Amino acid sequence: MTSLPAVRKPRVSNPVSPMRTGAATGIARPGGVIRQLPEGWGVVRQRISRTMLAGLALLTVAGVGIFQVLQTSNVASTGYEVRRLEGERATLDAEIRLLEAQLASSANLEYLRKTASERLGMTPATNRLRISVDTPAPEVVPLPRRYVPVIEEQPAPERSWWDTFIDAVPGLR
Amino acid sequence: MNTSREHNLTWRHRVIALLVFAMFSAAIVRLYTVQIRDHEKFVKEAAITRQGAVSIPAPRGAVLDATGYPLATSIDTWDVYIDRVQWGHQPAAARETAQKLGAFFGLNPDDLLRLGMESRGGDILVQRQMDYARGLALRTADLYGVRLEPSQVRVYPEGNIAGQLLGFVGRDGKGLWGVEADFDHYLRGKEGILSTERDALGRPIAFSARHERAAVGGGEVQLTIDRFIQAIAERALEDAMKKYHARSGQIIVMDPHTGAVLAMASRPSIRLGAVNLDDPNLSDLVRDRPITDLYEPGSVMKILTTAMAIDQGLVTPESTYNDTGAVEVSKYRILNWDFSANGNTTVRKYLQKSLNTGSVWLGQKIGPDKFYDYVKAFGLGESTHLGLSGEAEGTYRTPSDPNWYAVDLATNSYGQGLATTPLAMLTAVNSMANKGVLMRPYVVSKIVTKNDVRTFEPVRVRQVVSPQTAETMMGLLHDVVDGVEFHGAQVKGYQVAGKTGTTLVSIPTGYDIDSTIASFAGFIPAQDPKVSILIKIDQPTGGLNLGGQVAAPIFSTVAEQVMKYYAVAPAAPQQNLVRAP
Repeated sequence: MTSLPAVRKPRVSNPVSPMRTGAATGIARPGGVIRQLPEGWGVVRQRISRTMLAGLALLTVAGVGIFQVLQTSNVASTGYEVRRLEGERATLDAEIRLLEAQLASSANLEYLRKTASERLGMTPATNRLRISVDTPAPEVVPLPRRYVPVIEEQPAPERSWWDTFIDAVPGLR
Repeated sequence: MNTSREHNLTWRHRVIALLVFAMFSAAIVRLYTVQIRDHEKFVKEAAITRQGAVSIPAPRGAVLDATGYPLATSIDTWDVYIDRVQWGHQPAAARETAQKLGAFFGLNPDDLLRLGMESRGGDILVQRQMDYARGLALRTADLYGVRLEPSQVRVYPEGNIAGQLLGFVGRDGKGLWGVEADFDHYLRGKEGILSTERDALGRPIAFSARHERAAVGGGEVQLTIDRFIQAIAERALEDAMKKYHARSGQIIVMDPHTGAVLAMASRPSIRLGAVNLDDPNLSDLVRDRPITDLYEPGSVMKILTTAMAIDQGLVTPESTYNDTGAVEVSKYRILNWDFSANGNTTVRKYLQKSLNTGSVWLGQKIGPDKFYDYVKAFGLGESTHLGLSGEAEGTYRTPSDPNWYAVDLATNSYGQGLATTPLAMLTAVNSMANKGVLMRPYVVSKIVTKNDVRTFEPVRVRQVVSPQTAETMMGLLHDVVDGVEFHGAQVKGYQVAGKTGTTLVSIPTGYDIDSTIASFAGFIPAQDPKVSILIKIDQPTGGLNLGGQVAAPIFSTVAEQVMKYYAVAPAAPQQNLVRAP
């Protein structure tokens, strides 16, 4: 018994002709091999031209580029703002120190004496009247901490998903 | 066509092509070298060129008095510089800036321009420590090639009080003298560093790699000095210096129970903020004499001598000796200061009259070994460990010293022939008001830094005499002042305990009989001392030169004002005393 030669058939999993259904479900390759495509892709493929695809790709690239530029610009402007605020804080700190020194100078004993005697015309008391009261004496003035800025140690804030994302995108940090 | 083109390529074309190829190859090789192979090296070199570090000055901490008032503090200023390199690059802009800068500072623009363009070296300093607000205005003007560096200036809101104690700082803001120098480590803080990338003109590039280490402000040093009491002492001393035309003088006010120094005034003094470091007499002005200068305490020493004898049980206040007006010791004849002879004299009377013969009598009863043991226990031969630099240690000879003679014991007993600092003397005397316990004096009560608060508590050194002896002595000292009519140290309404001292000034050949040191050490109120005060006036002139004449009245003035300040009610009930409802 002689065996018949095998008939080579095209590898088509779906017997329905694409021409008949109007749906591109496979791609014919040289040699007759047709790659199976997902259902519906053929329709999209038909509707989106190559130019459109290129345009989309370009838009995507441009979008990423603009996004990066915007981010960089945002970081830069935030940096400027931080710098400006730091300068403002330094100025305010300096003004606070200056005002404290002026305040202390205004409480200078000699200044007070002169003001009392020369401007207000006060003279040292000649008669003293002592009154006993039940109110306790004022407490000792506590040591002011005004010259040493108290910097509270803040715990590091939790990283947001946004920061994680920015870190993941190359060139943004 | 193609054949003809090929034929048109001559050897010249090939050479040029080869050259172009070679050039590109060289460029690629160079790029490879720079960008890939030696990348790190060039990055570092570029960083050195671009990176610039600016130090951020740390605000210097304040020196506060006991009430928290700043006796010395710092305010921000600007140092203004002309950037000579920038002016050299842009002469036209420099000329314009010189005009504006000249108008701003009231300087000649041509001089500024010449200075900025012609001088060699670095930047030109136009003004140091310029007012902060003016500096901000100048910075807003953004003048070409003008640089403002932040700086600080030390200010003294209470003026020059406690000048020698506070000390001063140099132009670089570092402490050079006094508390400013001794506690510089705490006061100066830690300056920060800002490292940024800079452009070709050295200006920081706004958005660039930036490393910043923030400045840490200096700590605060709080003193035990109370500015109100210090001012009282300074004013009284100033008046005394004028009245007696004295060479120098010191007043110390202490809390005898804790050893806290409440005031320490000294004349001559410095003008803080205007210290001339080239002044040849600077040492005389800045020396904190209460702790650096030794003196012979004179009759104030009789307090300690008498306490020793009572503590040893050798005498009581009513014990007597025969005062003939003179004592022979070895070949020396010791007389009373007023050349008096008082006959049978009690210990109480000897102290009231301040008789040298009585001291010699007690000294001999105590004996040299015990006497010098007590002197050591009172701390006269050592530094008090106040915590400030430059403190002197007292000196005296002991029997173990080959140069010691028996007459030394006699003269030491009434305060001649031994030397100590005024602070050490008052500290020793304080033990009488503190149940016989010697307390270590201290002038710094607290140091507050960013991370730490150090508090200094009173330190008990040792029990020198028994509480009973101390109590007896307080009674005797009270009799010395309030038991004598018209004693200069008396304060109306308050009980005072104390002792005068008059010492001849020692000179290389012996003693100058025309020059004295008039002093007084005492407590007020005597029954429960709130403060102890030592007055010392060096070489008063004008006829009055004894402790009782010069120092005792100053004590009275100071003590009365301190009592008013502390609102200590007078001991005797007053006519106008009313009871609040």
